[in-house]
Amino acid sequence: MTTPLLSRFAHWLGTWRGRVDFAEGHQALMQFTLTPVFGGQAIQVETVAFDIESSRSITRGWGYFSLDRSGRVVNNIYGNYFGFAILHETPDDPEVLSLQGPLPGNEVMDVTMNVLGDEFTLSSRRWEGYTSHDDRPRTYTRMKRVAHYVEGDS
Amino acid sequence: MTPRVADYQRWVGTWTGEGGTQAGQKTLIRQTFSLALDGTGLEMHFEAFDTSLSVMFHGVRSMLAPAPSGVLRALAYSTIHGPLLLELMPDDEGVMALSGDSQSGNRISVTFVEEAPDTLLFTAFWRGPGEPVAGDDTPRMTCRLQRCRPWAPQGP
Repeated sequence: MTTPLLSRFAHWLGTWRGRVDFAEGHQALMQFTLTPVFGGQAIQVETVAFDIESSRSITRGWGYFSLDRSGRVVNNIYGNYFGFAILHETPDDPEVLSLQGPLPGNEVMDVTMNVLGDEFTLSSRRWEGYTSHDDRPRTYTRMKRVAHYVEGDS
Repeated sequence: MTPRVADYQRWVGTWTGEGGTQAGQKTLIRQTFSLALDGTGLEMHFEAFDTSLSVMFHGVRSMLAPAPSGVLRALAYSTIHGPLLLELMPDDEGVMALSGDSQSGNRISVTFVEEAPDTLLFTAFWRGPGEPVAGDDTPRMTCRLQRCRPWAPQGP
């Protein structure tokens, strides 16, 4: 049985890994794992960035994709370096998922994700909540699929 | 006291019990706690079923983790309430009291109380926007959870 959420994102499920260029200038190895929960009512997203030299994890994240009543994606997320947030989908091309929401400390986060074939691209940015300037550097991640989701994994 | 994830490490495992829902039905509950995020987070998975185990009344997947300030909060997805951010309220040792509002404005409250090393008293309730503040007589989901251990054959 599929759900509206899985109808749109089933091809995103699995584990993805690739290089991340952080907005602050350093690089790391990023891994995303997307798993359906409760029969596909939500998708759990687990993220970890590893230091390339030491292989130690340097950032950790967690979140859930779900749909609101109008069918737009809601992503409640946690990152150990920014805390907690609820992001809501913003208009974009049909194959692109763009999200935005407030962070603690009068900041706003926006995230843009896309899966094309076996490549998952993501860019994100944090900016002051009271300015609309778009000149802050973004974090860019380009990942390749390393494992498909297998039913029963969750 | 200000709780830390480590305070709940001894709860790691699977807990089960029979209780009642907020609507008054009998329910069977399964709750698991596991460490996550390199040991800095506590993953929690809750399922409440009817007594035939064929209908899941409510499922909640959540992660208790520290904000950069050190304050613990829980990120969750509920099959009834959708995405949630819950605050961990200060309380006595052996208590996890979480509270917050859903996206539609329902007030959610969830509490685990460690009554004994292998017993947790679980209570939860929600009220809609504009409904009166919960009192002692507010209907709640309640269940006494026992730690679930793998079966082992008895010796001769």
